[in-house]
Amino acid sequence: MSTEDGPRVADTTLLYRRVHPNFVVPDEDRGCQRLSGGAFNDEEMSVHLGDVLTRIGKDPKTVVAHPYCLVSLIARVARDNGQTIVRSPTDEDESHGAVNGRKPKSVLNALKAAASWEVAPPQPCPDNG
Amino acid sequence: MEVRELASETQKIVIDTSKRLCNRPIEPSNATDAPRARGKRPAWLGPVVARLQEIAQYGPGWDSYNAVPVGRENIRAAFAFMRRVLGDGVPAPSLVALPRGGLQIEWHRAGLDAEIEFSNGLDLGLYFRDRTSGFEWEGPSEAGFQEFRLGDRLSRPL
Repeated sequence: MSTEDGPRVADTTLLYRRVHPNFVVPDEDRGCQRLSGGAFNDEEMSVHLGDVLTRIGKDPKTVVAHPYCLVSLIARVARDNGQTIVRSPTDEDESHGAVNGRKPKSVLNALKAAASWEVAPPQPCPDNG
Repeated sequence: MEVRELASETQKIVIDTSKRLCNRPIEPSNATDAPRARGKRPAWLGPVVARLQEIAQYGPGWDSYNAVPVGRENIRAAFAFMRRVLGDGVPAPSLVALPRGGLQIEWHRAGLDAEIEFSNGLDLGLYFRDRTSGFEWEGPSEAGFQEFRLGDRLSRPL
């Protein structure tokens, strides 16, 4: 697992993650669609770094296409939950980064609760908590 | 090829298990199995079978990043758990493939959030939260399901 290196990702940076429809589950009580914590259940979780997207003039919503959704998280929330944020650009994606660290249920719940839909599924719940 | 094999394996597991469900004599004293009426298909069976067949088709990178296909051992473990623990009337859970090959089953209904993760063929435990009281619990899945009567609670009409 990489350590945090390169220019530090600011706490206020938005981290974007595509959400496969598999991770959108029904909240049957509220009749809406919510995010499953499974979307973040990866010790090396790929994201797109908002500061890079801004620098290269790319709208975050362009990193996603139907039927995927898109959520954003503030870097500080990930760090507050013991995660390390690394820059890991690829040939195809200059904005690629990763949120690394163990993600027990408490962390998954915190990340899920803090996530905001940028490209939402039909009938999204007002919150994912 | 791997995906096809997994799909076929899933179908085999599901068909074999549903045969056992349909043909198995009722033994009311069998404490390890959820109550089940003779010849009755559990409410969750059809949706679960369909969803497992979908999940079995997920190939490498299915999440558009670097996810790996769901391990058949996790499909087996999740299905075995549902067969053992869920009663006939429990609604089908959402089945969520996990990026590292695990599988999570979850419900968000009747004021409860309940999640069970399977990884490396193992049941990693139950998490549930009562959204009204805020009570949260994590621990062994079967014991938790029984202790907190989650089958009955999840079966309540909305």
